[in-house]
This record gives sequence, C-alpha cells and structure tokens, in this order.
Amino acid sequence: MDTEVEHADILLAYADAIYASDSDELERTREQVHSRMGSGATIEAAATAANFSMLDRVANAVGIQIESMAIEQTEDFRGELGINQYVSAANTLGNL
Amino acid sequence: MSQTYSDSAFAIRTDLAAVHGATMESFCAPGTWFDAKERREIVALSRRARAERGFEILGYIDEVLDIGLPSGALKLIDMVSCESEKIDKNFYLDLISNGLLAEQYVEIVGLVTRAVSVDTFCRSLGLSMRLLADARDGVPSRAIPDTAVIDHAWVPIIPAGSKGGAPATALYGETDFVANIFSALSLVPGEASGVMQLGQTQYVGMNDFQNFKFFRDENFSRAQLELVAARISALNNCFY
Repeated sequence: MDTEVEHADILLAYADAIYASDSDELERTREQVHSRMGSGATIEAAATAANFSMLDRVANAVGIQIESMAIEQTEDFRGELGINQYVSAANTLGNL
Repeated sequence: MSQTYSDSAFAIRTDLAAVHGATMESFCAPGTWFDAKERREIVALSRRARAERGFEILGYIDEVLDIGLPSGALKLIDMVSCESEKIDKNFYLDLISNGLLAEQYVEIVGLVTRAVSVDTFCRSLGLSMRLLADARDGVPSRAIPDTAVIDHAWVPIIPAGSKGGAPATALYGETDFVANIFSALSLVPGEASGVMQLGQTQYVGMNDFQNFKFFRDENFSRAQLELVAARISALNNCFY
C-alpha cells in the first residue's frame, strides 16, 4: 500500500523491529531512521511506538469502544484491512 | 540531560525524560488498591513475563521478589504484558467472579501498560531497562470515584462533564468531552492520570489533537507520527 508519507518505508521497518524481538534488525532500522531523518525524529518515532504499545494494551484490556463518530468514518477501510476480525472489534461492533 | 536518560547518546526531550522518571517512581509508591511492594512486584512480573516470552528487554534484570500476588492478578499481568489482543469480556468477567476487584484489575492494567511504554521506548533507542527503586512506605488509599459508571468499557469509568461531577473535573479538567482511551482507567484516577501524562508527552497534547500540522521535531511530521502509531496498533491487533 502506498502511504504517500515521506520515509514511510524506513519508519514502518523501524516500527516492525520495535514490535519484534530481533535486536540486530532493530539497530539496523534505527540507524536508517537516524541517518535519513535525524536524532530528533528517531526519538519521536520511538516515543510514538512506546505510546501505542501502552494505549493498545489499555484498549484491549478494558474493552473500550471507539467513539461513535469514528465508526462511520472508518467503515470503508476496516473490512479491507481486516481490522473487523480483531478480537477487540467485538467491543465496538458488538454494541451497535 | 535528565538523570533518567543520562546514559543516552540521544538528546531526549526534558519533558519526556521527566514523565518517564515520574512513571518509574510511581511504580514504587503506594497506589489506590496496591501498596508499593505490590506495585513494584506487578511491574517486575510484567517484565519477567515479557522476557520469558521473547519480548526483548535490553539489559534485563529480574527484580521479582516473590512476595505473592493473587492468581487472578498473575494471569492478568501475563495477558496484558504478552497477549492483550486475546483479552475479551469473558476473561475480564472470569477474573472478577474469582475475586479480583474491578479497581484492582484497572490498577494492574495501568501499571503494566505504563511499564511496557517506558521499556519499549528504552529498547527502541538501544537503552537498557530502567531499574526499579525500593518500595516506599504507605498504604493504598482505596478511594472509589463515586460517579463511576459502566458506559463504553467493561470496567466502570468516570464520564466527562456534569455526569462525572467532581471526580471528572479533578481528572479531566473543565470539559464535556474526553477520548474514550483516556477515561478507560478512570476507575483508578491515579493510573488514568499516569496514562494521560505519558500520552500527552509521547504523542500529542489534548489541545493539539485536531492539529494535523502538529510536530515536535521538524523532521517528523504528524503524518509520519500517525503512520508509526497505526503500524504499532495493527501489530497489537487493536481495533480502537
């Protein structure tokens, strides 16, 4: 999928390596982000990954629903991306 | 540079280092339903669970003291740490029916998720895990927000606005709207506040949420930020 976001390739690879447990790959992708986007961007990417590693677990663990205004806005791509198949989808879709 | 990250080759923002330092301190202070020893143990057990399941923690040191926690708490720590995408309402109801209080459930979720956040940040930048301090004296407050209700989560939450009364004002400020994710742990306001502080420092502040030109570093745009956020959420199978 073309995200049309600059440096998307290395940011996605960095995010994947943060989630996975391969320290060599993490070091390699971090160095790519660092060399192409700078240290400030590397820190912000790490902080973003840290934040959603927290918020995703909160959302999954207490069963929160997404805000009603977001249900319609996301309908067209949720099915395409397989998001409706997540266990946590039932917290919102099961209450419609 | 802050003491929290004095070993970092990266010049980490002062506010980010400060909120991570405060987060680490909060793990070893008395909470609402657990004392400091128990809270420290919950974080140490979360780290052990992740280390044993292959989630890399750089410089991992086992800080578990084996003080003994209820089996429901242990199961919850493990699931939130390693398999949160498999948690469903039946899992929650089963733990509650077996004696874990909803308030304890929420406090454990807050502690584990905030620990995951700081650990993920450290690992992402090649830093070793931050060690836990000694547990402080004191007793849990056991304070229950009197306006908490079941609404958009399995656990009771404090609604924003007039329905939430004084507890809502104390936690959210004077507002009629708060994102569901930030009210998710409001049954234990201390944990909800901890998550909000991390969220606003690591991601985007409340006032900039709709500002799509927001950036903290000129080389990292809001679109790039959302791309990383979406990828991590997809990997975590998070519908929200």
